[in-house]
Amino acid sequence: MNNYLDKGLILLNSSADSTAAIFEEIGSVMITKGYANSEYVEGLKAREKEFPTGVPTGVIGVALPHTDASYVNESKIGLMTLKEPVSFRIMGSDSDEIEVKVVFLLGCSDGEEHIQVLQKIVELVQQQAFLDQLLQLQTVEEAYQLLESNLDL
Amino acid sequence: MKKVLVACGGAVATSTVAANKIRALLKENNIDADVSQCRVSELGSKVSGTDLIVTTAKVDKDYGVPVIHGLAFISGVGLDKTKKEILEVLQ
Repeated sequence: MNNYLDKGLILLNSSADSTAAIFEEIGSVMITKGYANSEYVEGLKAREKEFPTGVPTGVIGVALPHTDASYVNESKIGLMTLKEPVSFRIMGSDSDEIEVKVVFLLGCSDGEEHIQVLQKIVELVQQQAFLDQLLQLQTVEEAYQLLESNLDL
Repeated sequence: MKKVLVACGGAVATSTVAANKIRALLKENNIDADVSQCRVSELGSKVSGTDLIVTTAKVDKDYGVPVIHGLAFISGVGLDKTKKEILEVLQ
């Protein structure tokens, strides 16, 4: 059951240097592939501004950007690792920031599904060993296999 | 019966994840509680009779009820401390 994954949505060692650049890079893949509508990137930016998604997990920061389900045509999970950390505001905070190295894009077209995906991703990012593995990833193929074996959705 | 409201910002996703973990925590500690979820914007209309608010989003308003930040249920960092705070309010 891994139709949530698409190799085009696995972007390793990106040089994106801002949240906007991150959302444009991965969000445009969602749009080009028809998984999300043309407003998707703007939706990600607006949502992050109002409800930030940076999560401190101990060693590295993880961000879980998403939009309202209405922007998404086909549910997908994207992964982006960053060459240099990018500051995200911490979930539930106005001003506190966290340096993020790993971004999981939660692109769900249904609220219930979004909850299940979030629950799964939350379990994973709480495992230090999994995060270490993510940071070691060199190829999209490796990343796909790691996600496929861990995302039991 | 204690009443706990778990609130998040946009949808109900982070609050669902947190609420499930809070239900398990309270059950483990034999605390009889009704754990329900809402958006932060709905707190005003739902807060009546509530003993504790746990939120994964920013809550600025004072509802006269203790507010605990539930980010630890998402990040796993500081989870023991957050659990202890919740139990202290409800025990």
